[in-house]
Amino acid sequence: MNRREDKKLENFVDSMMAEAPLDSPSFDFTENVLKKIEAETRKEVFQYKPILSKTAMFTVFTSFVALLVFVWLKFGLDSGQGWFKNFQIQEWFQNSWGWKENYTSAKTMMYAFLFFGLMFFVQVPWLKKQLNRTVF
Amino acid sequence: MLTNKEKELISEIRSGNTMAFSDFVDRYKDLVFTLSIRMLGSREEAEEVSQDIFIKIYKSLPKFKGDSKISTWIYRIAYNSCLDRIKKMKKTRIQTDLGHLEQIAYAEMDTALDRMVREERQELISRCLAMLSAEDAGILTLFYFEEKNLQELEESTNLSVNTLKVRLFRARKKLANIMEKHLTKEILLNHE
Repeated sequence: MNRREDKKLENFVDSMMAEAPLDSPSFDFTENVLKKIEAETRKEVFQYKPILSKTAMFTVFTSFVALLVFVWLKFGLDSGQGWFKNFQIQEWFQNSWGWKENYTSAKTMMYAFLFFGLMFFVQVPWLKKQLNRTVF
Repeated sequence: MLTNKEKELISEIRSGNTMAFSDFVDRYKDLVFTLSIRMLGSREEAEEVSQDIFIKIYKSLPKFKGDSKISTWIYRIAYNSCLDRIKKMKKTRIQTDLGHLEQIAYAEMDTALDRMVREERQELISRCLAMLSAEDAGILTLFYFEEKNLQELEESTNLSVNTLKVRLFRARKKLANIMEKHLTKEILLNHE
């Protein structure tokens, strides 16, 4: 094909393309795009992100296990030896419930507790509803 | 490269103004959709891909440096997204061979087209464009969207100017061939 033929072809396609109409998407196209963007942004906001990364968690856990192994190897498991030999745990629990024998409660106090409990259970669903409305 | 109005619009979008992005979508949606429909050949696919293109644009806008025209940058995202979708679809359109193009009579075709009503002519052009391969339709569409600027087309498609020239020539030939076949058919039908 010679140069003149090429030019004819070019001119012909130019005139064709100048008349080629632009297509339009659906009438709610922009709205749908914005909805999708909003949904994606919300997903990003509420995406679960752990405070400690997996690596940090693994390091902390390994260090803890290493420390336990070290303590075990150094001092053994016998409570009569090492770090725990001076602890008298039994003494901590002696007479801990002794106060109950002499305790009497007033009726007013009992009603106050009941009322507090009732208010608490009323507030839980109410607060939940309120928070859902304000956050979302 | 960017006009003051475009700069203002982009900074509004970056600051999270959704109304500004809505204006941006309205301004470019027809161009993006036209490119998508010509490359993908289906209205449903084109609608879905065009929406994805605008979401990509929204996400990438903070990275846009402004070293090219905003429209060129949009066309690059749109063209690549359509190519990706075609790869996923694994569907190719029927290829038109370039067989007997030497005898094309452009003058006769022009006369036949001139005789048609404008709407008829536009419909016929759309039908012919739909018969091109995705790559040919994409490059030809972008060439005219970019006002025949090959450097900008190079940026949009990531193809060299020389490759583009060859592809454009082939696409033009195929389009003329398809048009000739259609016109012959139309003329024959009108004579019956």
